[in-house]
Amino acid sequence: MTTTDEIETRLVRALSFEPSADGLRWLDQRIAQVAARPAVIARRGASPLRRILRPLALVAALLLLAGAVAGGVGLLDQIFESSGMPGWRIAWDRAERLDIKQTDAGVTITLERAYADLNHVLVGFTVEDLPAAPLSGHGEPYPIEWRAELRDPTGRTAEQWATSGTGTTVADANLSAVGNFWEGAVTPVAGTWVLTFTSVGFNAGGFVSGECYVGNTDPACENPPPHAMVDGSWRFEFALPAPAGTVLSPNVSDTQGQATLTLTELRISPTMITARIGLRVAGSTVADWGPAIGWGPWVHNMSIRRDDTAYDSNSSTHVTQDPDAQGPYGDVNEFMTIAGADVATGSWEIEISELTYRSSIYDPIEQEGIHLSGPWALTVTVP
Amino acid sequence: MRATLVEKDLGQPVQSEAERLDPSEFGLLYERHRLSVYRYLRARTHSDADALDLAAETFERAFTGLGRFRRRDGGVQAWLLRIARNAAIDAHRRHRPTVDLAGADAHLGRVAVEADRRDQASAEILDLVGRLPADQQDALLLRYAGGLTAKEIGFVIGKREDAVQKQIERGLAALREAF
Repeated sequence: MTTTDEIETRLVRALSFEPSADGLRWLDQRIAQVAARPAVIARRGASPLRRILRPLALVAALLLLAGAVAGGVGLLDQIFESSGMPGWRIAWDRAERLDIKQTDAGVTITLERAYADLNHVLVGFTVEDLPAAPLSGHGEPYPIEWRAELRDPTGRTAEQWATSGTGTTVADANLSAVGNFWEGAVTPVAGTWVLTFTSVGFNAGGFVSGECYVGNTDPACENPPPHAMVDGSWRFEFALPAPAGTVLSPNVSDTQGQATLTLTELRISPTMITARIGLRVAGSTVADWGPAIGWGPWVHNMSIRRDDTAYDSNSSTHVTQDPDAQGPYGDVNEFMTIAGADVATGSWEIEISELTYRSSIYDPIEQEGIHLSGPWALTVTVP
Repeated sequence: MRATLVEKDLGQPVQSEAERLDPSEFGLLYERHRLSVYRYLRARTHSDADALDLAAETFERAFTGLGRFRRRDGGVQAWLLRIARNAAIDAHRRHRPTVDLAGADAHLGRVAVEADRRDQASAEILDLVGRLPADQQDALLLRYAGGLTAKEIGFVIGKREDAVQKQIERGLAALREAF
């Protein structure tokens, strides 16, 4: 018979996760930086906090291949064909062919292609000659991880402008291929980009089971999986043309009841449409909101259309994390589509039929939030 | 690296905390609570990196919102875990489902654990927790990963202490029966 005490003990142990050593170091540094800027606390009009990005130490989705070696570009092709993201496919197909190799610490990284438009930056690279990936308990290799810094032609790092970063990998024999995307407001200038890797490999050893408390004689705790990150310096400089796309600042609004939505920015590029929309509710604080009924599983209850073409939006980023730092248009979200447009001309309409907001990000999230009915229609015509 | 399991008396309420938080002590607050915040978030995410991202977001939000903290709202740990829970829900709703080549399940409240990184017994019990109703999962994770009392959990999820206690007891009963 299993007693309650045993169940509770099992639960505590099962949930005693330990962060990876590298990850904890990163978190400590990150919070130290945060705590070093006390002026942010009460200052009105401070720069809005963006969603935090872990700087390119991405645990990427892993696509395991069976069969013949496909080669670096072939592997990368598979990533973009499998992504379900039309915009990514466009980026890969239109990317500059670079084929730049750098070797350090016995590991060769090849920057195959790179692309930038006003919403996206893509780099596709391969990694050769890493030590064999450690195997998990299920006999599968751990996915590759990497740590890198990307600087645009003005010297800004991706952390300064990107709202999200995504890496996908595919591996075959001695070769790993990675497609790494950054989304955000890309600087609209041609010039030289610099991508510098400082670590690449398999971070399996970063995790130590929560079972490994002092005195535990479990062999897994005595012999944790190897830490197989390879530190080095692989630096790539490459030129890209001026990012394609159009940025509009229409500031068009629609009010229904007490709620006003304002389209403050529309970024139209070949890989994605980004709509930045603010919500103000008269007599109420808006700390966060979204175009859905309720605050549960998120449904993007909105449409972005240009003339007869619809663009699906499946993601958003909360731009104004601090209610005290909101501008005149209230709490701002940035909505992103999975496909883009080569030309901006036409009549763009964004319709949001329902929305839910909450008045404090520090309060418990209620299942239903505060629900408002529209519709709100935001239209901008580009001649 | 050898990790140390810090045993915590789950029944002890938050004690000796000031009514307001002093920004100069934020580092201490972080050091004291980072593990419980991380563990709760790790139980709700699919990777160490995701949990660390959300932990960073939690402490950034906390630092920005220090002025809003009130001791009567459940204490520091409950306040931090409320922020962490909100951040996890936010992250889930912004997830790009088509990008997830691994096909990972990102449902709200689902205990997302890479079984290959846990021993068999732990993987088994976490899998069972993942099958519980969302409110029971929530209560169990806040109690056994976050280390909160039922009363503190009530402040996090906006429910009464006795209602939370019932959710915990139901969840444990279901687990006990399954074992």
